[in-house]
Amino acid sequence: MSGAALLDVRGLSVRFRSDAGPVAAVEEMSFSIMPGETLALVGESSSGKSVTALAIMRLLAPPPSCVIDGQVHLHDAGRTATDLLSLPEPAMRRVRGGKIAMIFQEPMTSLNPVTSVGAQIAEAVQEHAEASPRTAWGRAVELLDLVGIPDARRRVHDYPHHLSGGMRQRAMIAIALAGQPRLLIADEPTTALDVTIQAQILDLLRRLQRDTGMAMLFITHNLGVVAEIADRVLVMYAGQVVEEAPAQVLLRAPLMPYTSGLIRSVPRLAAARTPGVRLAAIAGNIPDPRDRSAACTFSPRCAHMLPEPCLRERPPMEVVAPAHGVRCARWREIAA
Amino acid sequence: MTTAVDRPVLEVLELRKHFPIGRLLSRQRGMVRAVEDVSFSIARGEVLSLVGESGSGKTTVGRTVMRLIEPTGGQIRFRGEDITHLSRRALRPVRRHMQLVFQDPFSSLNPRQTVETILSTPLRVHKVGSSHAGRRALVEDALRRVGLFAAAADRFPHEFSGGQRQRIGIARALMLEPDLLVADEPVSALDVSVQAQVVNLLLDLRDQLQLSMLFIAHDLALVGAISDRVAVLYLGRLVEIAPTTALFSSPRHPYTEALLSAVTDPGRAGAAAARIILQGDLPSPIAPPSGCAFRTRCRYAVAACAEAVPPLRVRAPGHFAACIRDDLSLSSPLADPA
Repeated sequence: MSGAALLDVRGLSVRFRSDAGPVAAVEEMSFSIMPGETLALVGESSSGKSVTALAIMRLLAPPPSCVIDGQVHLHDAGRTATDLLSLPEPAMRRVRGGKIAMIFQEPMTSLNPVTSVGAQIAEAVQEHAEASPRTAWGRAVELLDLVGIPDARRRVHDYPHHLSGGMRQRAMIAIALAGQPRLLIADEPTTALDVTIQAQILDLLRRLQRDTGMAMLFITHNLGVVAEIADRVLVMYAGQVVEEAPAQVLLRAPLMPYTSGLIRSVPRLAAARTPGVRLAAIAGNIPDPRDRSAACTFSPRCAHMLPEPCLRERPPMEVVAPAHGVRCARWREIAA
Repeated sequence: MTTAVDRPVLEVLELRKHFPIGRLLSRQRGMVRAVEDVSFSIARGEVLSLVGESGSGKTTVGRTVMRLIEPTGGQIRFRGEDITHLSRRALRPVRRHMQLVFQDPFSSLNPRQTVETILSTPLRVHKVGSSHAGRRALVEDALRRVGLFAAAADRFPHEFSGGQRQRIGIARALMLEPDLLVADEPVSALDVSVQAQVVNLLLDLRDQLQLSMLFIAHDLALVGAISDRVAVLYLGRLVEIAPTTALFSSPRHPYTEALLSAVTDPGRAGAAAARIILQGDLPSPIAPPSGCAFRTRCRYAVAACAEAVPPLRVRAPGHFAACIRDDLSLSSPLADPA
């Protein structure tokens, strides 16, 4: 399986320095992304999903503020794999925006407010290919058109503040596409948008992926969005992957109690108010990354928790079916 | 109808709020019609949700109803009394019966005050509770009511998680036992697993205290979990208002249809193909389209839609919509077999 992978992450751990000692933000993450595949990374705040993406892109602070372990292999069309974590910075700069591009949640703060969107796209084009300013500008117009900005020839002169939230996110996507990436990392790209605009952006990403064949690492907290876009899903809790499965399997038959709790806590249209009925909430709060016990990290909130085996040790990731992994010591009894 | 028992707690009649825009010191150049002719009422113990995209005017309606923003026109009646033009002084005794819960549990609590100070301030302002000990007891009761420990009173906001802070915000709003709670996106800053806890808490409190609630939100599925009725705003105007299940299962306005279609659902994989994707963005509220403001994005628009602003009309008992196309049969994800 890993032979054909585009990106192969092995044993990725990220620790931040703090006054109270090291804080483990991500622990022992391993996963791979196939060419053209959409892998969703799902989790709530402080689960480590954004830190994982930033570690892959090497956008975190250098040691000692932040210590990264593990390997991130980028495979280039069957040729030798490159470990991004040991790549010299100049080579890494060519990877960023070239082989791997990234878009963020907040399109306003991610764009430069004092240059036109056209200039920002053209800059990205010239960063990754030999192109004259004139060619790059023409490419900027093409890219804006590709991401569905109407009247691209005129809008290319607009500044970010001229654009609505949805249009800004389209401009961000145009910049990301400028280097013709093999992998697009999208960190909560629709969270700041209205639902009707979210539907437009998801539609756009699906179309671009179909046309370009790029793979996508889609980071989100929204399981409804996962159902729309993901082929495979990794669920993160407290810095670890707790379940991994194809999207349909994960959403229909989750095995980890956290995953099923999270799916149940999402309000559904179909369950519109019946008097007396309550949402299925998960009790308790998301654990503080500073105090992570030696037990299963979800055990304080888990309805299926038993002192033995849940508090004895952290369960390992167990492969329960092809492409389906679960980090739960009691999954067999719970599923039964 | 006019007896004290079934009189609505809140009645809003043709509410308007216009904001002038233009450069400072220059002649006024225009007007943002943030809220235009909005009418609704909320009965005792009822939850009405106000939904719409950003820029639809839902927050402005909430704030104007509380008189935190002065209305440009229309009438606000609270517990039968016209409060539209009450002076600040006259408003103060009214205010204790209407309270606000904010979206951001981080910025809406003073970081330098203990939870006890935060919760007892409304008591001191309205001279409730004769002694310090009496007020402390009320604070502890309020904390228990929202699912926190009494000892939380001695701590500071930063010691709590987002969900717990929102519980403190709700406890503060309930200190004076209000009749009406205006909750402006109270759970949208919270994680999904915690969001459900806070929604359930609001429902429990409503049942226990017969609270009326104006719930402002953008997430229709969430709104479905909490509201008895739903009002849909588009560019400052109500386009549809109906009981929740009626609005969800048989929407009568094309905008509501599109909003429902845009709701994502973990159980609805592969629904993307059937989705109605609205083209373009919300038009500028400074120069809204003539006639029906939604017509520029509406797939059913006809020439007549540009002529006049369609009024809200009764389409079924308790179900009002502002669309001239009576011939449409609109779809709903609830009608799909999936």
